Amino acid sequence: MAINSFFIVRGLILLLGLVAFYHLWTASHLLKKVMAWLIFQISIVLLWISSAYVYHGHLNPLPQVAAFLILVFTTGILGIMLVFCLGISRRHDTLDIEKINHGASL
Amino acid sequence: MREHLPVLLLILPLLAVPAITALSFSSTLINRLSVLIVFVLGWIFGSEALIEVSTHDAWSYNLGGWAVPWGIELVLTPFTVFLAGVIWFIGMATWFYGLPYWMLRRGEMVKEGLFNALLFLLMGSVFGLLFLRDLLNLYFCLETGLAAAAGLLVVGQAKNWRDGFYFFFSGSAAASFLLLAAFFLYASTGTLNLNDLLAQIFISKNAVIVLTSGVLTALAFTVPFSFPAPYFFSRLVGQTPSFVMGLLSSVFVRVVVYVLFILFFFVLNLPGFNQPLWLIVLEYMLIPFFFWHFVLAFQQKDFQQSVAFISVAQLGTLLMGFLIGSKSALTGTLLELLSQLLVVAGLFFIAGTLRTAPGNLPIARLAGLGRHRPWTGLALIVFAGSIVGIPPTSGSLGKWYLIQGALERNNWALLFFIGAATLLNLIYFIKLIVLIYEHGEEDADHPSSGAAKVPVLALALGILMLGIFHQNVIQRFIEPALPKAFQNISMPNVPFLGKQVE
Repeated sequence: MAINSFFIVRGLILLLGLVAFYHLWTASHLLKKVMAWLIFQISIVLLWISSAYVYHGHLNPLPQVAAFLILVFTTGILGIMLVFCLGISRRHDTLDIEKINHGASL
Repeated sequence: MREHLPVLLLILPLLAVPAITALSFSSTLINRLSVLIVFVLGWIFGSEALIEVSTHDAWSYNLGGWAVPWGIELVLTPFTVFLAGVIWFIGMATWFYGLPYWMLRRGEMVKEGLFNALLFLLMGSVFGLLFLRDLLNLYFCLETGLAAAAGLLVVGQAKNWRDGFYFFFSGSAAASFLLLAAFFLYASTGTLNLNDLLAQIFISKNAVIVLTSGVLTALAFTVPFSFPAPYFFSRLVGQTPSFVMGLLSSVFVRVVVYVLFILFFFVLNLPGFNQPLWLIVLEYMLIPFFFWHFVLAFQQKDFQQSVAFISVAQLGTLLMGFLIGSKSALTGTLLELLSQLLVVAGLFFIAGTLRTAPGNLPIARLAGLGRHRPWTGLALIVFAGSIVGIPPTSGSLGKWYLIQGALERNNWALLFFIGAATLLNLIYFIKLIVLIYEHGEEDADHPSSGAAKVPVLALALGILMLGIFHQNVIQRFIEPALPKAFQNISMPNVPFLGKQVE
């Protein structure tokens, strides 16, 4: 199988998604978690965009529309997550998970 | 107007969100009145739609007149409209049940308005999950539902910011797998419409894509499936008002199960596709895993924690039907799904009537409940009877069909699991009856509110009605919702396709 640029591009996108997904679970700060989720979502958006060029360089509009809609929705979800972070930081004075859990268990 | 009923049903709760949020700043009375009007309008639209789909079968509606696969399709089937009616009923019961809670908090007018708006947002997203036949839109509805659910958790109890965030965050992270599944399916088929996907998958016969997207889809729903398991959401179960827990555990979780049913049996149902052994083993391991929650439930000293475990445990029964996959088993699953919607909400509502303040609710408080509050005690027996499978509750019929399906396939492993779970539930049921009718301490305090009693009794009545009229429900709503291979329809029959391919 010939390795073309599509394989490389999609491979890099998947790698980005995997790294983001790893940090999504392991990050110890809520903002870092949210950022990791954002990068994970962006990697999915990039995958969608990459599929718009599948047909021998011809542009397919549907994946682009899908990518745009996902991006808009991701922005909205990001906003809600940040509101939650704000609420938590007001309540616990920190966004560090260990400190929050320690405070909650007291 | 009548021809636009499908979209009206979907946008009514969504339009109510900004309207009710804005009205919450005016006065409590206006806000409550507007909520009532929306509910009444929903009943009017819903009953019109039900008449239409009952006489003409499924109703396909293209948003903006754009035909599929480019446009977005809404499909109303007799079962989805009936299910939407049950959900609307539970939503209304939740709102009515919550009224005394808000009346005690006179200064929190805006908060009450926000709660009502989020309730409708959840209803709208759930309706979207039921009616929309587009994979990408299913993701959007799932995310909106998660956001509404997280909002309800926080509005119901301000201490829930942290747990609400974790619920929303992990739910969103998991839901992203649905986007990945959609991507792989689109890359393989060039479509996102569910009916079209089925046809294209059949043409391409791409088993790898079916397996990959199936696993990713199941992963996408893991967070709703684990809600409200106390080992993840312990604080939420104790702190959140019972009506919020009841609404989310019944409506949100069970609708997600229905979406999974649609995706597995109508989209990824490639004829001749054999699941790999590891997946079959994994699926069979999930059944005892879910049923183990019954054991955990009976070990609890706190009633609300116990109900939370029961809510998760019952998902095992639904999964069992999926695994068997025969006509009887899927009929049982859909009947059980309807039953569980009412049971889970009802059990949480009862817990709420017994709990005076956020925190623990020892099971010992149930002692003598049947004598002090006979109607609530009776309702509790109906809910518990439905879980065990005692006739004429709807749960008994659902399990009957499931057992029949397992027998037809000679699936002794699943028969053993459901038999063991039923026996365990029966023992606990007898213990529960003894407890609620025992002559305990005379000072056992069972605070009661008339408004809270009505939804509990209505839900219990719903379970009995569903059980008594189960034949009608099966013939009119459930049978048309089964894969075509299982429907009693005349030829030509293309069993594996949702729509015939030209």
